[in-house]
Amino acid sequence: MTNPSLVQINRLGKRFGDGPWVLDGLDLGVERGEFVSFIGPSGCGKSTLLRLIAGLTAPTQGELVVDGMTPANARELMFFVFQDANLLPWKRVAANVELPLLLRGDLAAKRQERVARMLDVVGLSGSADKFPWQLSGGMKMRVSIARALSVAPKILLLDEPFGALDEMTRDKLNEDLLAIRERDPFTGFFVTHSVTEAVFLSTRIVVLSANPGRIATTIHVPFPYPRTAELRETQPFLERLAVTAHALRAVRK
Amino acid sequence: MKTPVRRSLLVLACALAASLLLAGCGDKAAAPAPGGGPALTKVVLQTDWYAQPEHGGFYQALVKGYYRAAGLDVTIEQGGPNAMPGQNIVRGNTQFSIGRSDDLILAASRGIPLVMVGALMQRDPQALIFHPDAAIHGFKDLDGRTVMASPGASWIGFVERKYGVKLSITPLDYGLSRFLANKDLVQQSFITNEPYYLHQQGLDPGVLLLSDAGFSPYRVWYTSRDFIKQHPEVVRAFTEASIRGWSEYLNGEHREADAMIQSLNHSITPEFTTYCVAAMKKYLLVAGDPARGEVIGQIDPVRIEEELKQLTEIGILTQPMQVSDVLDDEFLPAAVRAKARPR
Amino acid sequence: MKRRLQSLIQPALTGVGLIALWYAAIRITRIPRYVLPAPHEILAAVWQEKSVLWTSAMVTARGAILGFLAAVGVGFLIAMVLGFSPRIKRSFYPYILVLQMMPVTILAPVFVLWLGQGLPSIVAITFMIGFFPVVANTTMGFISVDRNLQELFVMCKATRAQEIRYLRIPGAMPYFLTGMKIAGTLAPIGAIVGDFLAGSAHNGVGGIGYMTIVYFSQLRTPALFATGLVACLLGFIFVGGVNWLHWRLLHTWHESRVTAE
Repeated sequence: MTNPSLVQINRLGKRFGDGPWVLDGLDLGVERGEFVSFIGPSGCGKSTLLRLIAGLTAPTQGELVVDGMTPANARELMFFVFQDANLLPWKRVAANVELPLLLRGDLAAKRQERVARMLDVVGLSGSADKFPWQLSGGMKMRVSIARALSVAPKILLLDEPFGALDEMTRDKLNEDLLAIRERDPFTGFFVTHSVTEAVFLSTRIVVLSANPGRIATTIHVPFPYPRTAELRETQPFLERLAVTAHALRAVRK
Repeated sequence: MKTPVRRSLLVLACALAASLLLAGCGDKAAAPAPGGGPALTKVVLQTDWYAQPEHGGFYQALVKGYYRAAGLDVTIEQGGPNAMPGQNIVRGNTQFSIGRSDDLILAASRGIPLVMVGALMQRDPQALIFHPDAAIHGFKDLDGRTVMASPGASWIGFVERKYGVKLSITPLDYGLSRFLANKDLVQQSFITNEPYYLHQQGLDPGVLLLSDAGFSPYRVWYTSRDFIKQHPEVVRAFTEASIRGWSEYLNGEHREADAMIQSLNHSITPEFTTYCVAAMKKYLLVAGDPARGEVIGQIDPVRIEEELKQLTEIGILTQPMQVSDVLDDEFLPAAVRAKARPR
Repeated sequence: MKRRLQSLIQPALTGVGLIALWYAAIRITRIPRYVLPAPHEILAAVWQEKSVLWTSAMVTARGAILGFLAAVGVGFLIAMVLGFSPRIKRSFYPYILVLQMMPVTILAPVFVLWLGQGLPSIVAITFMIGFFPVVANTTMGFISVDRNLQELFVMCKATRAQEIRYLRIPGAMPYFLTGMKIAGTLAPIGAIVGDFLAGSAHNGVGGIGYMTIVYFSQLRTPALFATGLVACLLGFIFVGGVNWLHWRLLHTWHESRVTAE
């Protein structure tokens, strides 16, 4: 039986060694084209869940299927944007962006072309020759996103990528991320502490409770794409914000 | 901005003052005033290496009581690779020491007030050893060879100059493993020592005695100019008793002296001692050549004069020096003292 | 500009003060010239012995450079092997430590027996003295790769060889260069010690270590100090060279160079 979900999670559990269970009994199905945010209190395992989907760590229990394969086998479909920009400090911006292409064996000319396009998409064409230490936090994160996009992933996983940035930069990058998704669609998984961010970006918000991490509730965000900055001031948006905030507070007890 | 500089200068000044104070406290007492009566004068002799038969005459004088009979309570201290015998004498830690006449001349030329008073060896026991099939029959054959020797040693300059040869010197490690492993290596050694151990390893080396090249320092015992001035009778007593000890060690029975040497230096065996004494006799090291009027203990001023000239010629001695700057032979018994005077 | 001037003037003033103290000390203690000569006597000896000192500095420099290159090159390779496999590291690291702890005076005759005296043994001894900091630091560098960067490479499906080439080796560079700096300060010392133990001299001139023995045995103390001065200079030039290399290789990207700007 073909499974329509792109990512299917069944009774997923995770513990490290003999430690406490970080995640316990998760069931989740994510369709192609969705944008799912994970929020919850500290220790709820949302980052761990993201890393399980990415195949950076293995489940202790249960099943995790990505496009019909194990996450490790599905790596070509995915890319990860880390909490820290995670750039190679000894390489310039262009070289950092082309890294995944270089490692998978693309030829130089093709790499150059792709890198130029990605830098254009994130608005950093003028910074191709700079070194990471010369960039601001926001710029570094954009390089990281450009790098992730260079392989045209079907699934993009982002682990609190904008957490270290100020609110204005964060809002702007949120808008840019959605704009990119408009042109080159991907299924998104996003971990954040910011309720506003979750509501703005997502089709669905999964709220996790802690100790162990379980899905407490799921909130749908039905606004159509493309979403613009003005959306944040509308009444329906504020309503979704309130619902989500309430769900989060409930889980914190 | 200036304060840290001033402060660091002050710290430096204090540190220097402290170290000077400590350095000044190093003056040990000299030998006690020569007493009349039964009290023996304490005297320390420092040898130039660990106890060995090459020091035999002194141990003989000690165990046979010749020093005691002369009113001296002698202690023999062993030397070694990093001992600074000259310094010990100048500081008053010791009263006599053993060394080579050319080293003493050099020290005196630098202002160290040391004076030689008697010789334990008329001929320098240093020799070059080489493998028998190294095709070396004379000093001329050393040209271009690698020689393990003391860097800067006087004989090197002398031999190179006299025979017109060029040597490649590598620092002496006082061992024999390199010599055994390398057939082309020539090594500076003592004729009384290394050949014996090589023979035990199955190798009888060829030998070139350095004194045969024409550069033959004495092995002497020496003291400071001040000590001679203050205690001439001690110098005389020590010299006479030492000559007596050497004479007996060479020609008489010396089992007790050997026993003492062996107890101080466990690497000395009776067999080695036999070899050593035989070598001393064979090469006329201690007694010298009677045909030239050489006698145990003698230091000939004419030879010292010659040595000064040689050292100047090879450029090691850069100060003009007189024989009287380095030698005082009046403490030798009349029968031992050389007849001819220089100039 | 003013700060530059200050950083030159202050040491210069201190230097003048130290020299004045030196003269005062000699005057007050009346220390013999053959123990501590006066500064002008040392400079006179430098001038007098200048051709000998130059030759001996060249001999030592040659040994130091070759030994340094050996320590850095071989050290890097050893570190790569150790960093590559934890099992190999655990098996061999203790023995590398033993080699490091073994006094050079014991190893020197062994080298000479194998390699002969002169340059080969001097290089071997210099290598022994300098290789361990390179190995220790570089191994650390290979192992301490940022965990996040490692995961990045996992996401890129990089092979082990790719990870080593594109992540571990560049990532180890700052550590390697730190080890190289330490080896650079040790190399001149190693060459001088090597010269002392296994050197070789022609026409009475050997490396700095050799000339030290000569001047010492001949009680030519001003020349001895002059040799020391030359050894210091050699050390400074060497360390300066390695520091320049450090700057050159790292300044484009590493914080240690960036914050120094």
